[in-house]
Amino acid sequence: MRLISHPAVLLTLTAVLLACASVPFWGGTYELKVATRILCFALFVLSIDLLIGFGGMVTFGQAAFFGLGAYALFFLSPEYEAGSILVAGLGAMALGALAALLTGLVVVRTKGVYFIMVTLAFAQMGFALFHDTDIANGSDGAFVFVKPALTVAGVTLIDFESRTDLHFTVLAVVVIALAKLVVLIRSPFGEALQGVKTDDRRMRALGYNPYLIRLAAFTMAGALAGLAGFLFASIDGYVSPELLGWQLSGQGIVMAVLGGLGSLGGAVFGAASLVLLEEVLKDQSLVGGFIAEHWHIPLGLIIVGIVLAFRGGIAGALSRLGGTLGGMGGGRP
Amino acid sequence: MSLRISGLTKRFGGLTAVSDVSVTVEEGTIHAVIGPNGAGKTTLLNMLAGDLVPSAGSVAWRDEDITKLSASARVGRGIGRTYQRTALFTDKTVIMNVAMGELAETGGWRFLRPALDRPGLRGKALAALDRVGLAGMAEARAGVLSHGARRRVELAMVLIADPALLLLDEPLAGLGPDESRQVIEVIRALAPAHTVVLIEHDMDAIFSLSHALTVMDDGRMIATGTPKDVREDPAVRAAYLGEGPSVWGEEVP
Ligand SMILES: Nc1ncnc2c1ncn2[C@@H]1O[C@H](COP(=O)(O)OP(=O)(O)OP(=O)(O)O)[C@@H](O)[C@H]1O
Ligand SMILES: [Mg+2]
Repeated sequence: MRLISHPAVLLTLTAVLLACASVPFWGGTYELKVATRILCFALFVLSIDLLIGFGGMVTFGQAAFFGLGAYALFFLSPEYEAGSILVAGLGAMALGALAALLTGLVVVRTKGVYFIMVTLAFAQMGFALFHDTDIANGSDGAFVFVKPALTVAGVTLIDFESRTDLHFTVLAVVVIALAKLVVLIRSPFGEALQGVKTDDRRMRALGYNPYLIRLAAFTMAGALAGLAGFLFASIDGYVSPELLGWQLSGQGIVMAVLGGLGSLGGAVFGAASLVLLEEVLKDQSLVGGFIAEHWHIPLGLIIVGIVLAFRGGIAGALSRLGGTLGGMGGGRP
Repeated sequence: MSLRISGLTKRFGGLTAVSDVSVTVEEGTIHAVIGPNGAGKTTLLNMLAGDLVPSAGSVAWRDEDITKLSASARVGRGIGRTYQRTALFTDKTVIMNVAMGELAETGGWRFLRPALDRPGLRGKALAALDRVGLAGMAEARAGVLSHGARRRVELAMVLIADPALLLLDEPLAGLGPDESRQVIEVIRALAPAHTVVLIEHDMDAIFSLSHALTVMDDGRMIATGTPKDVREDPAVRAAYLGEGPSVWGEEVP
């Protein structure tokens, strides 16, 4: 909770976001795509942090909503002309929210390991829906030939065909999401959500309804993940069932833990470090052929190392560093 | 108007933790519940608060049958409780813990402004903390408090909502002598504007505070009445005196 506003965390967060903002000015297509991907994952991880970090709901199915948001782009894009960013984006959020609300009715009744299992089960149902049927070409995935644009009175303001437009849009969405979540977490709702995480019997005794509070948070996180998936699918204009798969849900958890749960800023740190580590370890010219071929192994070791060395992930480490250097009395609660 | 408990029973598998308890607590009084460890006092309170569903019997508060109401619905009827085992939000500040009791009024369905910015809330929370002598600790994180301070925050959390009926589970347990005196005065001042059901082991406190007394043993209610009546009750004396040193202290006639 105090991690959100810790000076060292804020400072690093600003630096990372500025670095992302600078990429279009110096990077090529590859660098830009990596940076946009980081930001999309950051949004996705924010939805996971809201659930795990603040609500104590360890979800192992968040990719389902991400994937649904991605498919919303496909469904809401006309075949031979540009769709509307607004329609597709809001549609993706609505689809994510609706799916989360409906599954949440069941899911948020469970806790702990059961919560993990039930979210996973629902997500795999979603995966199967797209993988084993002919919807959007089934397991082959489907292309969106013309990416959406935002056109007002005949003037195209934002066109996702332009990588720079897409990149800056995603960056703006991340900044807005961070700001909104900080407000949400400090509001009575946010305090109640964190209360439910600590002790929901006590919350009931005080007069709250923990079930509805969890359901509301789960729905919000579904909307956010849907938006992230929509933006992610806009990078390559391609959607496939893997976007709903458990691997991506798991990666999201890894990013959230790596960045630091319950810190919001950690979502950005976690997404950036995992994506960058993967890119570096896969690059033969940087790490040599052997490592590049077996990049999963060093990546795993590094993740284990960071998690063991930094309690509270990167955000936790930063807050302690800031606390020592600046005498801000930070430290993780 | 009163709290009427009729034939209240709670079974856990084969164990009957509370067996056929019937008591009426008059409004505006402090009613103590005593009994040895495991007598079923907390279980009884849990059923009054709605944290446990009774196996049999009913609870009526102000002429309304509340037996089937959830814990949060009972809060809406003016019923608040504290826990024997302190249940604070250890990540939150002390003042936020107390504020949670008041914010519950909106159910948490406010999304924009910081929780403590609600008009009048900070003042009310500080006043509740002041009553238990903790105004100076408002900004500390609840997790770092001493045991006695935590117990007092626990009490402040229910005080702030100002329920008509307070169910207090051993509010004095683990307090130092000064803390204890302060909390006793807070409880005393609750009547007659409020009704209190008080579980306590501290006999001096009970006799100085309570208007009526119920004694439980092994799930059953073995006596109920004024402190004086209960003290002279043969069943109570048998139950307690059988246990060795008198729990009544020096006052036993
Ligand atoms: N949830 C539960 N499941 C099973 N048994 C329980 C449960 N809660 C209480 N009990 C049992 O019911 C009996 C009464 O317990 P209770 O906590 O009500 O006693 P108490 O009078 O409050 O005791 P103490 O003075 O130690 O707080 C005990 O034997 C206890 O082990
Ligand atoms: Mg007890």
